Amino acid sequence: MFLKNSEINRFKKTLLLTEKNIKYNFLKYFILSLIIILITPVIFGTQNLDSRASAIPLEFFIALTGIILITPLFFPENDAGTDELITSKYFENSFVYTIRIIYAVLTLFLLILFFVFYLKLNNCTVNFYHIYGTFSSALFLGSLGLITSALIKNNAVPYMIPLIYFMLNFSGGSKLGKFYIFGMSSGIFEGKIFLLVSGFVLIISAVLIKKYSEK
Amino acid sequence: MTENTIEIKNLNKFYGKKHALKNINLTIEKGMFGLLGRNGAGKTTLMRILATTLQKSDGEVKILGTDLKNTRNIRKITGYLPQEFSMYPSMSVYDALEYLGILSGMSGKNFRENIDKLLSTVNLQEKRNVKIRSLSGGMKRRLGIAQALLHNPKILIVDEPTAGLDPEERIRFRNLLSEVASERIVILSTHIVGDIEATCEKTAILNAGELIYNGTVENLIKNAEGNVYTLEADRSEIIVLKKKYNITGIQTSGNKAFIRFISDTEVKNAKLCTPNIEDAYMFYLFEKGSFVNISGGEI
Amino acid sequence: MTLFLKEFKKVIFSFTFLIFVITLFVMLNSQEVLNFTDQKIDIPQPGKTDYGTKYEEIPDIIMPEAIKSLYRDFTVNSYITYPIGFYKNIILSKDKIEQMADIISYLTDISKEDLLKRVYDENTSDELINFENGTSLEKTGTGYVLTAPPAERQAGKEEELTISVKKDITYEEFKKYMQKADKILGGGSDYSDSNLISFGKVPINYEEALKNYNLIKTEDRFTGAYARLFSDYACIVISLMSVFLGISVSLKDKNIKEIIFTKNISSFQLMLSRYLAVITAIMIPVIIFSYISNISVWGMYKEFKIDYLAPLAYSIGWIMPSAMISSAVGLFFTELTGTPIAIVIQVFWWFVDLNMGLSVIKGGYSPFTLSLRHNSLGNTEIFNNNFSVIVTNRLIFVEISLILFIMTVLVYSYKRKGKINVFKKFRNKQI
Repeated sequence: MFLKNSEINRFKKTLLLTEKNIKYNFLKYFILSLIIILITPVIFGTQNLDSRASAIPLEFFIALTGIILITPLFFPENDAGTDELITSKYFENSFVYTIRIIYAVLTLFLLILFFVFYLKLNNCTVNFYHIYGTFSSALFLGSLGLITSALIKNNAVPYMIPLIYFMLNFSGGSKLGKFYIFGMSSGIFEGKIFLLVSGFVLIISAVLIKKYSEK
Repeated sequence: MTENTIEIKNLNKFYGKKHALKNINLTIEKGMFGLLGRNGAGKTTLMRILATTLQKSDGEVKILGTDLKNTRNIRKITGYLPQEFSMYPSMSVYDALEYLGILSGMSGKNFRENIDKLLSTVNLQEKRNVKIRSLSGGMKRRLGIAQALLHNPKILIVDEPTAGLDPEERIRFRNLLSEVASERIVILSTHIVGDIEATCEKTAILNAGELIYNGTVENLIKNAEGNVYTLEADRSEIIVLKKKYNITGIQTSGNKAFIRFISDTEVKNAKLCTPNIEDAYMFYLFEKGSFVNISGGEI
Repeated sequence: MTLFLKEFKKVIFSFTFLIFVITLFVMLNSQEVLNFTDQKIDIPQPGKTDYGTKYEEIPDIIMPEAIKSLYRDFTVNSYITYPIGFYKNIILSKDKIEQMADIISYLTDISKEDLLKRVYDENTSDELINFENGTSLEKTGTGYVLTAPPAERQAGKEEELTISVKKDITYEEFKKYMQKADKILGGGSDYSDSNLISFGKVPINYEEALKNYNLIKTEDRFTGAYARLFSDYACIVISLMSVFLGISVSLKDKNIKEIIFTKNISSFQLMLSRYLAVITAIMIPVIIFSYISNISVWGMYKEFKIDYLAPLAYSIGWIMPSAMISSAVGLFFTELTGTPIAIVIQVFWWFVDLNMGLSVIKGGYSPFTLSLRHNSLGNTEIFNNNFSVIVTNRLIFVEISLILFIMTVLVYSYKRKGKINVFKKFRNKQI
């Protein structure tokens, strides 16, 4: 980058790690998420929607980006050779995982923020709860994928679990109570805190599981 | 003395019921040390334990005076090239070194220069922007060595680095290792006996989890003196001879065959010859009773 | 033969398959289609007051109901539509309101001015919000002013305008204008051609109820109806989940690709065994569950001749084509790119298809729906009438599956010869 032949300190080292991870392990998922965001207005029509109708593209489609961005965060080390190499290093794996989770979650939030803002520009009735609610659903879905990935080293199965949960919500939503991800679309603008907190708990658990299964 | 060596005492490793490493006692000093053994003998298990990617079941290991359980401190002073070396396929060589350098705890001082230096040591400067998946086998191994040396470790653990390399690459690699070994302990594990002969002074042989030899390469060869023979025979006789002797080499020329074999008893009509390390290795295994007839079956 | 068994074992003993079966079970259970013991179909008894309702295109019923509904929506300027199956609330802009007023004015005899007077614009502006009942909230320089609705306005709301269609409007013309209204609303409203029938709600009488019952008895032989309902839901799950098995089995031999590439099996043989293995693996639990579901009712119809093969027929005819296409998508895109991108493709298709299916009323079938729907017990007449569409649909999907399969074989064989290294940048080829 802008570094010359000089000493690089810890902050710069962390920055370099972040940059490399984004460049090699994150970019394709980000682009896929962008495509989802761009397709959404095409499928749903996003003008003049009321509060409840605005929640629909958010909860049913935008929330899927949570799965795309968060589920594959452990995938780069799914290959046994790479895993052994990285594990033998001085820096603990969980350090890199934490970096990835931070930028992935931030990206997710920003994408949702951007889309809600887009809705607002299109004269839809949206407010901060739409951002918060969609983010909670998206985070929860992604966290399901991440924790599956911590338990099973596979490049496809971790996507199955959040998608199955998504399907389950499609058909039997009321039975899921506070963990129903399409609440706002049904007119319920409260209770998303359970999804949000659970999402974070699952993500942290996933990192801990990874950390202790590597020992 | 222990501050400069790797001390392994009564090391055991179990995979469930399987006893993979049986009471290993070993001291490794500065220079190139060769760990020899068949596939499945336990070499990689031992390498992994030393590299801290695998937990031992029992025993004591001290690397330069530090107990193995201080994982982070050990990792700061060891460099590891695993057998299945691989890295994010789309990463460029240079980026990989930067990335792994940081992870290895490489010093921030002269960060970039040190990477450049290493690239030239392993002769990969021209490939610095090439993606890892486009590298040849030999280049990958060289990259593997480079990344293991990034943080200037005092110990280098190299697991089967020359498997699958062509002869030229193999020699180049061995020379590289020898260069690097001057100021370090380098442990090289391999099933290619020739690698040991070319580079190591001391060697140990692992067989089915047990350490059956620990000494100099010179002594290993001496041990086999007087027990290696050559014999000229007719090609048609090969089948019979195979059943009779433990053959370590067959060379055919027209109708003739020159066979090389080991025997602990005198063989009258054969010629004694100077053992090479392969003979010595085979003979040692044979002596220890862990020898399986290597002559091969019916063609 | 052994190649098939090898591939079959690979699928059956994979984690993906385990999750697949568990998911199938959980989903079917959550929709209560695994046990129908509480849904016995009894012969209707004469003299009851209610035999259910049905929808028929009876102009004398539809026209008044439809125009009343349109007027109601118009006066509050709030229309609910389901253009792609999702709830959408349309609020019309000024000139669209005028266009709508033109339509209503033409169909009834109410003047356009009268209509426009009655519209309460619900759009909020920064300074003034109008509520439905006539109350308004206005932001002034110093605060807010809440104004109760003026007496006449309230009275106006209660004053029932007789809304009825002009006598000389034919049903055809009516439909045309309703379709125009639907267009203004962006489609998916109750006024569209296909949805207008929802205003034609008529009670089913005893004779019709008996006719329906007899159809179920003779055509479905009872078990068919249950099998059909089971298949409706199972198909949705299968259309999505099958892609994972296709992906998983292709990803699995990524690591040993070099060895497979040089072996002496033809690409076609290998892929065929693989594809058949996947489909067999999918269909076995499907058939088992469909029988579990169906057997639950056999006891209830002991005195009748029931069709014991209905579950099997529906599994193969109704569900299997969806399994075939979904797993073919998985196989093809994974073989082509070496990544699980097929997930995104199949999820997207499944999602859009599911919602398109929701906006079509119960009796509609299309040749292109992935998850074939019939979510009511019975309704045999509609099933019979559309049988050819159903068959066409299923055949189309079988054909597309086979085409995808052939393409997969081609990709695979080209890769073996080293000709393709498509999407190299997406592949995580191991070194």
